[in-house]
Amino acid sequence: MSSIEQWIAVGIMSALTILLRASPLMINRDVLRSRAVTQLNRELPLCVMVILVANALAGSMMPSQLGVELIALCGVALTYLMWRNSLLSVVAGIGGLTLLRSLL
Amino acid sequence: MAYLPTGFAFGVLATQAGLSPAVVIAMSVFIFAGALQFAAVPLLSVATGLGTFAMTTLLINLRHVLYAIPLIEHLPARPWHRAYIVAALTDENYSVLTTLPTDKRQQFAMAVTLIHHVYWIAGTALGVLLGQQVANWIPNLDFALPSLFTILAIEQYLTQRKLAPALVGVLAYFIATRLATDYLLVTALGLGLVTLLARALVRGSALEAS
Repeated sequence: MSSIEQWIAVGIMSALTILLRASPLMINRDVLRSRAVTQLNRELPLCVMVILVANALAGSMMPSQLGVELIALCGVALTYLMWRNSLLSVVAGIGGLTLLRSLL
Repeated sequence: MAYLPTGFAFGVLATQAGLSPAVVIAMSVFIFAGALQFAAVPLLSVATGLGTFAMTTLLINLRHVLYAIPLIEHLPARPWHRAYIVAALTDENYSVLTTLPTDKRQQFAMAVTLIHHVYWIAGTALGVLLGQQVANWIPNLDFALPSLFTILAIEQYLTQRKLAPALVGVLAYFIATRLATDYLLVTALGLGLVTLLARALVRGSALEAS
């Protein structure tokens, strides 16, 4: 993307994020508190994060590389569930992937 | 304090993806939304339609529409303080502010928001400054991105303990790979949204009928 397009994209993301955060001041609160919106708000973030993980791995077109990355991500998940330290888990993931790639 | 290392990781990754330091720091100043900023890095580094940014923002940050509701009655009186606190209402700010006793929220909301924002920007600036050196020392640094999304997915799972949204995400992405290649991410996000919305409407109707 060109530099101008990048700045426009940043502007769009900023404006929409602020609009979403300020929406309770503008939208009827009964609509926001409806069962459907509440349930969508509970479930959508996990769905989005899983799609983002898949998209971030999509660069690995070779099945063997994808397998190695999935194993490393299992390491990230396990270490996070054990210690709840995001920085440590990211380091474990990068270290695990580097080790696996050097071994295979 | 979690904002400092996460902001640092964002600064390093965004710099490594080829984004200019000004754009990277502007993202942390004006967007201030971790998951969206990380998701935007690969989109900004290749040719991406502006509509994809709008759709990605709406889907990733839709959860923010509920955050201001419990705080509206307890925001500071000064209009620009109120505006800033609402505009910067991240997951962490929401968690901290709603944990405060209601009589303390008005007093501390501005300070909490400002401190978190400064940590986030400072972390990003450090990441931008040290990005190249860090990338030289650490191989496979770009793997931090799927790692961070995995951690965020686990956090989301732990709040609800339901696997269905994750399965919808996997299926939506798989179907999107069969339908589109140019707009893969936005197609997958759209499919996930439509499926979960239909599920929420059906469940809402069923609960009202019973």
